[in-house]
Amino acid sequence: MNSIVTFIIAHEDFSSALLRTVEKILGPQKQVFTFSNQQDDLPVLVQRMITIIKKQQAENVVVFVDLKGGSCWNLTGMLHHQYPQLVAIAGVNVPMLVSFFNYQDDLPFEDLINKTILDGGKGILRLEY
Amino acid sequence: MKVQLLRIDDRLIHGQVVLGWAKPLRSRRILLCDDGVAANEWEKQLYLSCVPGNLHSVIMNTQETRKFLAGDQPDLDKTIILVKSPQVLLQLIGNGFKPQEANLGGMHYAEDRQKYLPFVFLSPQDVQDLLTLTQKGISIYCQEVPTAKKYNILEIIGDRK
Repeated sequence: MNSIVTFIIAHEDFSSALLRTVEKILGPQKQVFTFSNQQDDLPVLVQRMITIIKKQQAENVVVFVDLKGGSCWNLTGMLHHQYPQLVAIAGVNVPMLVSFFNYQDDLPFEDLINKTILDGGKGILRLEY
Repeated sequence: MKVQLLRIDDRLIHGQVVLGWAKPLRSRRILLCDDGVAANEWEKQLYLSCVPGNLHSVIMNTQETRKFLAGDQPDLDKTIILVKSPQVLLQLIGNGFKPQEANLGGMHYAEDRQKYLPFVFLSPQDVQDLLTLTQKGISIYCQEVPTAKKYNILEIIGDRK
C-alpha cells in the first residue's frame, strides 16, 4: 500500500479537467491536488505545494506535468530543489493517470512509476482495423 | 544594432518565449538577465534545460548584461533578452543602450500586485518603473505571444495611476 501525494500541474485549467475526467472513470481519488500556472507567481505556488506536502505527510510525492520546458516544468524544478525526493513525470495524459491510480495500491512504488510512464505511452496509438 | 525582442516576463524562459516568439522570429540567441538565476547553478540548469538545441542561450547577471550591451555584439537583431521586472530593465538602460520598445509579456500575481490584464499584475513600484521607462522614450506594449492582442502600457495603467 503506497502513501502518495499527487500533484498535477498544467497550463490553463487542464489539470483540474484532467482530474475530473479520470475521476469520472475511476471515481474520487485521495490526496490529489491540481495546479495551474495561470495567475500566481511561481514561488508562491511552490510554497503552497510545500505546505501541502508537510501537512499530508505522505511517503512519496508524484508530480505530473503537461509539458517539459514550460513554466509548469520550471515550477516542478523549483519544487524539486526544495523537495528532492519527489518523482516528476512530463507529458501527462488520461491513460497515464488511469494506470497510476488503478495500480497505486497494487504495485511497489518504483514499479508503479515505471508502469505509469509505460501506459501513458501505450495510450498513444493510431486507429487501425 | 537593435535587440530583436526585449521582454519583461517573470517566468523568464518558458514555452511562450521559446515556442511563441523564438520560432516565428527565427531567433538565434536567448539572453536571460537575472542576478538571482545567474548566482544559482541549479536554477541556471533548470532554465537552460527549457531551450531547444538550435537556440544559443546565455545567462548573465545585470552587470554582465550591461557590459555585453555596451560592446559591439553580433546578432543582436537575432537575440531575445529576458528580464523578470521593469526594475531590471531600468538598470540596463544607459551606457549606450537605449531601446525604442520593450515587450511586457507576463507579470504574475503576488501579494502586493494588482491585476491590470489577465497576464499583467503590477505593484505600485512596477507601475512607477514602467512610467519611468516610458518617460525615457521606451514604448512598452503588453503582449503574451506575437499573434495575441497588443496593449500599450499607458492605456493599461493610465486610468489607475
